[in-house]
Amino acid sequence: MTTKTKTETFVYATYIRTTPEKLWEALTNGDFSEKYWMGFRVELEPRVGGRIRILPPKGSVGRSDHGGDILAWEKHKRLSYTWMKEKHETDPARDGLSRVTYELTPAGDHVKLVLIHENLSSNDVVDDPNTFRGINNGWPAVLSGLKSLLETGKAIDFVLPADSQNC
Amino acid sequence: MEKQAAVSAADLVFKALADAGRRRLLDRLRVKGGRTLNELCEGMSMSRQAVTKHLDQLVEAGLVEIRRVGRERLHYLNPVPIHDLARRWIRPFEDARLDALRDLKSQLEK
Repeated sequence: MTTKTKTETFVYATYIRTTPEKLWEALTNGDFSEKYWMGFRVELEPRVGGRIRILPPKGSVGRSDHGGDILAWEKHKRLSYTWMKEKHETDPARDGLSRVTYELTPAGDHVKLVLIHENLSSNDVVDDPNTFRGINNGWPAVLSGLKSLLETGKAIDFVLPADSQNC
Repeated sequence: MEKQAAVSAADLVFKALADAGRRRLLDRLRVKGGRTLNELCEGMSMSRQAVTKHLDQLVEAGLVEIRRVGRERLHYLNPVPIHDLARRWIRPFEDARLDALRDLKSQLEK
């Protein structure tokens, strides 16, 4: 059974006081990502067609690798990849995988980071602001943590609700 | 200098949110993103010029992002500044007792 769902695009933007090189490092390096992405670890092959893995913190239950295949790799400028390949490829409600793109643009002593999440189905979206579940709620928290880490050197502590397996 | 910049960025967000028309635009973009100016003008009881002006202010505050797709300029809600605002100005003031009070109020007013 294939249900054709209308897809949605979400756009998130933030200005971070850093350099494109440092921001790129923070987005692509697991030691960094663990500190702002609720313990998730990014591991990737730095090329188009390479695999990107976004691994849940050790010991977490019911969560899978959030990454997929790298679609665009322009160092310090643009990274695009498919989202949750492992979990969503087998989801009959989906029309193909969703895509995540980071765009980095220098803006004075800041870098503008735009995150675009495309081809999302209604299953991905949760209309409840009190949870990190659902893609529309998770990204602002991740970007907020990233900004805080790069600008102050300190990560934000997150308290995840016990049922946040889909985050 | 850093503090100054942070204050003015927050000021822009608060000012942008201080108008009912702009809040309505944000609400409409929250329900469905990726709208053109024409789509956003529909159902708004204000001139195209006024909508454009409000959108400019929302873009300046970082609450709306514009993406160019082909010939179209699509408007998206950017929730990040509101998330930051909540982290700085709402969560530290939250109190379980206030929740209890609100629940009591809604129970009594049923």
